[in-house]
Amino acid sequence: MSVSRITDVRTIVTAFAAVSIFGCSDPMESGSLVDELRILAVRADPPEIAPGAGTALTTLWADPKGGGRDVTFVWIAAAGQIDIASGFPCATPLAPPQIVTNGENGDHYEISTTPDDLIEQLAMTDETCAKITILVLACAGGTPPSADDFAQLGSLDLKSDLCRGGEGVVATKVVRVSRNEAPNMNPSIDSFAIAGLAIPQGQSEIQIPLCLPNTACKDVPLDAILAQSSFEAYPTSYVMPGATGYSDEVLYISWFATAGEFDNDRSASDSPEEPASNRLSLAVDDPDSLTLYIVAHDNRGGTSWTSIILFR
Amino acid sequence: MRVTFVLRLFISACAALFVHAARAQTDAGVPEADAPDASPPSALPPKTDQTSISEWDEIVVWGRSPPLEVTQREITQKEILLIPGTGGDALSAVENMPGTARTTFGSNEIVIRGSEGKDSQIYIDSMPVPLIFHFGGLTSVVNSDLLAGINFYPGNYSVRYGNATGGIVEAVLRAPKTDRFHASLDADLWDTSALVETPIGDEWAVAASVRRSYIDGILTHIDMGDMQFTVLPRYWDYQLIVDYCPNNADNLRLSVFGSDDSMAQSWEVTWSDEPSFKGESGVHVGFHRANLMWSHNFSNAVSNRAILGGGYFLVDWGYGGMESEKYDMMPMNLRDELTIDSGRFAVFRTGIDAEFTYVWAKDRVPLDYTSEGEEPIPWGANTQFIAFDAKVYFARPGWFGEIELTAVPRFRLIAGLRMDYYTYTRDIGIDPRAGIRFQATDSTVLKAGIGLFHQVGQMAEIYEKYGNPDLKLVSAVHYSVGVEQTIADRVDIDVEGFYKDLSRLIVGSDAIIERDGRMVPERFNNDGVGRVYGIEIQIKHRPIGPFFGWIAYTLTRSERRDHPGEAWRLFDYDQTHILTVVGSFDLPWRMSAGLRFRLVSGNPDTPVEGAVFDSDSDLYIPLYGKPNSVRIPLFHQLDLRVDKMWQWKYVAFSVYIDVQNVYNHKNVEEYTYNYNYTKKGYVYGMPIIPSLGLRLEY
Repeated sequence: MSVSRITDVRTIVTAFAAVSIFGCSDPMESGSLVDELRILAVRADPPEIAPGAGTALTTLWADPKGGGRDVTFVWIAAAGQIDIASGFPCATPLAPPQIVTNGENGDHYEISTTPDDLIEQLAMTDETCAKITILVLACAGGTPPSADDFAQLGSLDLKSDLCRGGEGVVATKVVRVSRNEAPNMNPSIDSFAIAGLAIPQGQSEIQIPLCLPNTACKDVPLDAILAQSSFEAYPTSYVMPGATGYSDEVLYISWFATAGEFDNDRSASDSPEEPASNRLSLAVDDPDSLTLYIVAHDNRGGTSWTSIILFR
Repeated sequence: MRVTFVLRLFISACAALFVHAARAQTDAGVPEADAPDASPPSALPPKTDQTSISEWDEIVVWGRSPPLEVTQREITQKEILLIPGTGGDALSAVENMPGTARTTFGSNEIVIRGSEGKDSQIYIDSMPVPLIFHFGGLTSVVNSDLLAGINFYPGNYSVRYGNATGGIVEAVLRAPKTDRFHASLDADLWDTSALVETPIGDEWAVAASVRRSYIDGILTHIDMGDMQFTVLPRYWDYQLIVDYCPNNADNLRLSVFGSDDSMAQSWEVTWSDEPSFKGESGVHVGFHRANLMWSHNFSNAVSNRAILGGGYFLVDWGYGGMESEKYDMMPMNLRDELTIDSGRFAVFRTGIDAEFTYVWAKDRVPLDYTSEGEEPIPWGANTQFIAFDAKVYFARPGWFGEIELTAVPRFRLIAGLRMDYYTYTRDIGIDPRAGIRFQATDSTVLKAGIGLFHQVGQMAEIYEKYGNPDLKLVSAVHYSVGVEQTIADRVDIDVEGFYKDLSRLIVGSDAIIERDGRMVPERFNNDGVGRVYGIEIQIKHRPIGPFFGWIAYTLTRSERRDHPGEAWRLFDYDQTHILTVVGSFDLPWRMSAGLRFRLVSGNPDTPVEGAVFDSDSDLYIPLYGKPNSVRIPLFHQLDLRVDKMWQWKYVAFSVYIDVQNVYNHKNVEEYTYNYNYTKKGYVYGMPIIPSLGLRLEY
């Protein structure tokens, strides 16, 4: 066995060198700026269920330039973790699709499983949990597919214009199904602060401290503290035999705003004592009012969020 | 008919004679002395136009030796030193030959005749090495001054080489000079190297070289913005050659060489948009190798060359604590070649080529492995990983034998057989190969070749805790036919068509299979097939006199089909047109000037036709279109080089300026996308880079 067959060392060196030393590419906009119809997060409560149990799903969405137009949501759930990139050739819905419009609790969807739904999947993969994939389409100003069309997951073309004549976005969410005695729980944002000012729970808007109208506000500190219960440990299981252990959850905050610029799109939180920190900057020509979204994630599908309107 | 050959005598103990003198005959099988129209001595080029002091140590005779391979391309030392854009680097010069694709900027790969870089083998002194270039392909890991030459075999090569289905690049270390003490010092934009060599008594000679980059020193004074290095990029390499030549029949050589590249970044700071990447990211790659070679002439007809080599290779890299690989490898190689020359009728060669490698691998890698032709799925906090700590032995004993028949005038037939046993996969590769060269006229040689080639999969693919240990050997059949024509004094044209049939290529698999009574993911299988075909044309003015240069053009197509029933797709580095023009003129006042121009089709790319938001990882997952169905824009680049030398008796001082990408064209290397794949941008290659080089020789 030649050493060049052990590992692709030439590629490794290339990747580091090209990216780190000489990388030169066109600048791209940040995903934290919300300036069009977006689904920002999908929460399952609870995120991990036992066979036969149910869960409730909710989206965090924004349509800052929509002017209050109706947004229609089409939901469907299928057994298994589906490879989105290759479509849904073998997927079968767990339940009929659900089409609802906002204003009628449209961003909310509930599913339940039977104890037998995922037994085959559990046996096939040799994993400790099975998965349900939820697909949600948000459609604004256009015509979404019918429930019957959406039910034909095998022929659903996600590259096509699913919201005919309008603006549509598609998001996925995976719900874990297991018999774990300590299933995953959603993380919880204990508190957050803007420029050092702690924001009370339930407050819907606040003036950014030391940020005057029609002036640039640079590097406004943002801190989010996650609750102690968010930091869980869980058994890991790899598909291949021979490597198991316990892992700590990776917890991080995704930051979104309808104006301004963050230092980072995401920031990590290692412990309740160490807040996830970021900084927001507003230019002079940014609007004086914006919505800030703070979304907490763990790496097993747990999600929660909070939002607030900021003004200067 | 030109029948003499280049006898390149680096004044040394005896090594050069071993290499070249044994086969001083033409394609027609006519000994040199019988040649009807040998060029007269008066045709020798004047020595006053040399550009390097080292040329004083060569005796150059007109003509060429017929290659032992159907297709063998060589680059002389003068060409290596003066090709613009290569910085005088020997292995970089290979990329200007027909049959090699333009490598992506910063790449360490050499893509030969539509094969992946890992399908080709790189040898230094007949021993395989894992990499040939330092960071970003800036310079090779061996000092070009210590090379006797580069042999480049794009296909249909001898049974002497195994475990490769692509091509072969062999760097041959030269013997140390024995006339007196020599020393040189080289410095350019990236690094400085020093070389000393001296005879010790009548029978010993030693050469030693060391090189160290100073990119880290430069970067220390440059504002790198958010990019924070904890270990600045740096590389170094060394070579030591000890040559012992006690008599005309024996030559013993110890060569020790090594290389080390390292760099590290604080990822938490630089790319904190991905919070699951924590801590440091870096790479440390190095190797140290020692070879002991003994060449012995039993008689004028029988000679033997044995090489025992061993070393240590280290690959240690990690991305922010998320993905990491650490390989400690200890390879041992044994090669022995026995040559029996029966005179005018045949030459027999046989030998063994054995490898034994101990690997200690500690890996934490994504479960999803991205193979050639596949597009990567973005990493996120939810990416699944697998970890293993493996201590594995790989062994590959191999035997080869070939006969070179020259009994029929003007015909040279080379037929051989090679067998390798791969212990880990318990598989045998049996490779029959044959080539023929026919001197049709005094100025025309027709050539053809066919051969079977095998190679084992990479460790990740065959290791049972990650891949599939039941994978078969990858197989390729090479076909080629061509003509070499002398069209004018010093000018040759070489046209060669080739076809390569690839089978049992290793591709990803989603299947669940039963292995040892247990259901496991198959991960990889041998479903892939491929085909590569094309034509290579080289019009070359030999490096004799005040000018050398060539026009190399390759028209090629390389395709793959990953699974039965799927459509054929283009290979990741398929480049339809590859045009390289190289020229260098000697000028008065010991100056020379040269240019290199390249015009190459853009690499294929897979378009992104949409994206879906994965709310669990907070990432958009791209929805790809037909694999490799579009191309990045055409690549073109002009490089210029001017050399000037001053000489005072034994001391020479030269200065050169090598300007890459003279007109600063923004060559696109790949596409990049915004967060939700609705906008596309470009990643660009090297901007204009003027490099000043200084060289002091004694």
